[in-house]
Amino acid sequence: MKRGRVRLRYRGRDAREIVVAWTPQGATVEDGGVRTDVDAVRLPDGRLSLIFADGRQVCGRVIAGRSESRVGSRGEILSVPLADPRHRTAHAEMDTSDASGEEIRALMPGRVVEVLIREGETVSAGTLLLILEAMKMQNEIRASIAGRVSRLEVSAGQAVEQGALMASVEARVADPMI
Amino acid sequence: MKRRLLVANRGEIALRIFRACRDLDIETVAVYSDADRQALHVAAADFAVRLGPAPAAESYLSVPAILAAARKTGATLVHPGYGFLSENAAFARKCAEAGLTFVGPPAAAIEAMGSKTAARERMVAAGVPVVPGMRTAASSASEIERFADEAGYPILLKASAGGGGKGMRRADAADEVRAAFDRVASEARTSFADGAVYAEKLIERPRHVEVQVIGDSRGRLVALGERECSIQRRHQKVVEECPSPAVSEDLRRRLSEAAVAAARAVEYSSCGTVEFLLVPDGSFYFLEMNTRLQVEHPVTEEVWGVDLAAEMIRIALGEPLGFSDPVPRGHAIECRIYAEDPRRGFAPSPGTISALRLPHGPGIRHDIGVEGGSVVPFDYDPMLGKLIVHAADRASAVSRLERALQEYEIWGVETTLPLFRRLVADAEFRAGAFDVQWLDRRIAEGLFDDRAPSREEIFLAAVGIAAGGMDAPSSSRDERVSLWRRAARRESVQ
Repeated sequence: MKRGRVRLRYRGRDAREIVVAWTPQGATVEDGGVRTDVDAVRLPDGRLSLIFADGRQVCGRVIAGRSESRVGSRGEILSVPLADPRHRTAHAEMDTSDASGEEIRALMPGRVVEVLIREGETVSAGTLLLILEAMKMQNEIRASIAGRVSRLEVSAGQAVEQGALMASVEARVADPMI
Repeated sequence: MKRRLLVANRGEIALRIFRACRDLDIETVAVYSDADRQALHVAAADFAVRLGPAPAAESYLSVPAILAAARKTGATLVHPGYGFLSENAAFARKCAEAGLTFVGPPAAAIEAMGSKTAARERMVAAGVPVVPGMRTAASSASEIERFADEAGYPILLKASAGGGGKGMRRADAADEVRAAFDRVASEARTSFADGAVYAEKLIERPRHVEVQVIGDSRGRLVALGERECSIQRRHQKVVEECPSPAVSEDLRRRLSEAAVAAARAVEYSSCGTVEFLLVPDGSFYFLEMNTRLQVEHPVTEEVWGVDLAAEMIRIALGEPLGFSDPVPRGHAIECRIYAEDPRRGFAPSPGTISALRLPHGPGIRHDIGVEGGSVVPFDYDPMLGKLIVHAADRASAVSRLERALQEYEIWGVETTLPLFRRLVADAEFRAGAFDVQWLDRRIAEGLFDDRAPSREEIFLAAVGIAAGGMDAPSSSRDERVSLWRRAARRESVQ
C-alpha cells in the first residue's frame, strides 16, 4: 500500500506529516500513525464530501495554498496550516490559469510597485512575478504554473485598472498534476 | 399600454422594486453605469439605458441622464431606491417638471426633513420629543447649570461653531460645569474664533429604534411598528430586527404616535422612517426622518405582511393603502452582507464572486444583487445584499439565522458573514442586550479569533490538497470532475 501517496505537512501546534493514499472508494488518511478510510467524492459545484467509517459526513470547499489551506465548512472559511511541500501554488484568486498557460490580471485597481521578471524568462510555480499595490496593501503576485513569461505588459510605477492584463505565462508542456 | 417604472438605482434595491413592479403588472426600466452593464438589475429589466461612466456623479447621480432615460423609454414613474438621489428634493421636483411621477414623498417633505436644525424646530412644535438642549448660547457657566438642573446630568457642552468632535466636554455633576465651560469656551475661541458655548443632555448608550410610517395621498397615515437598529459599526447599521426586544406594547404605542405626529407635521405621504434614540428608562428622542424606503424595510414586511415597495408605487398612483388593520406576526432579523473584510478593519473587498451558495428553507429571504460570477465594483457601496430570516419569536429567529449562516457561502471576495456568525453565538446579542456602541466595543475586544479546524475538517483539507486542491471554481464543472477522477485513477494505478 505504498502506491499513490501524497505527503502533506501540518504546521499547527503539533506539527506532523499527514499522508493521503488513494483507494477506489476514496482515500486513506494517515495521521499520527493512525489510518482512516474515507469515502471521498467531488460534488458538481466543486466541493468535496467525505464520509467516515462511522457515517459522519463533512462537506466543503478546499483551496490549497503554499503554506496553509483554506477550507469552507458549515459556512465558515477556516485556515488549516496544511500544505503539500512539493507544490508551490500561487495566491489563488489572483490568476486565471488553465492547462496552456495563465494570465496575470489585476484583481483590484492599483499601481505596480516592482517587476521581478523579464519577458521570455522561465518561471516555476510560485515564482514572484511582480508586486501590486492596491488598497494600501502590497500584494505579491506569483506564477501558479511553471512556464515561460510570454507577455509582460507593465513596468514599475505603472497604474493598472481592475482586470488589466499584467503578464502571461505559457505553460511548460507537462501535466501539472504529476 | 402598460405603465413603465424607472428605478434610478442599482443592485439589490433595483431588483426589489422591479419585483414589486412585476407583481403590479408594470414594466421595468433599469439605468446603469459603465461598471454595471453585466449587473443583475440590468438583465432583469424590460428596458435598460446607459447613464454614463462608472463614477456615481456621472451616472446614478446625473439627473439629466436619468430624466433622458425616462423620456427615451416612455417611463412615467421614477423610483429612486435608497441612497443616490432618494432624498434629493430637487430631483423629486425635476421629475414632476418633466411630467414624471416620483415614487416617494412630496418634495416639500423631503426638504423639511433634510435640514436637521429646521426639522428639530418643527418636531418641537409638533410635540415630538427631541434631545433636550439650550436653544441659544450660554453667557455663563451658571446658565448651563440651570439648564442641567432641569434636564438632568450628564450633559454635553458644545462649541456653537464646533464640529467634527472638537470643542466638546461632558459634565456629570454641577461641580464639573465651570471647568468644562471654561475649557470649551477657550477651545472654541482658538479653534473657531467664536467662544459661544451651549449644552444639551448627553444620551448615554442609547438604542437606535425607528418607526416605519406609510401614508397615502388621501390623508391616511399609519405606523407599522418599529425596527431595532442598534447593531451598528461606526454609525452604519449592520443588523436590524422587527420588533425591537426593548420595546413593550405601551412604548410601541407611544413611539408610533410620535412618529405619526412627526410625519403629519411635514404633510408626509409614501413610505418613511422616523428614527429615535431610546433610553433604558423608556424615554425617547427624535433623531431624524428618512424620507425614503430604507435598506432594512424587509424586516417590517416580513412581520407586518405588507409589501412596502408595492405600496409605495400604489400610493404614487393615487391609490389608497392596500391594507386595513395589519397584525404583526413573529420576529424578523436582517443581516447586511457587505463585501468588506471584518478581519482587516472592514476594508472594502471588491472582486469577482467565484462561488455563491445561498441558504434556503422556511423563513429565509434574500434581497441580493449578485450571483456567482458577478463582479463587485469598487465604485459603489459594497453591500451585496441582505439575508432576512423570519420565525415565530426572537429566539427561534436567532436559531434560524444561525442555521442559515451555516449554509451561506461566498468565495472570491471577503464578506461580513463571519461577523454575523460571531454575533449569533454572542450571549449579549442573544439576550437582546445592546446599544448603539455595543458592536464597536465588541469588535475592539476582538471578535475574530478563528476557531481551530476539527479533525474532520483537517482531513477534508488533506484530501482536497492531495486531489489538487483547486482555486475557487473558475473552470467548467466537467473539467473539475475529470481532474478529480484523473488524480484518483492515476494514483491508484501507480
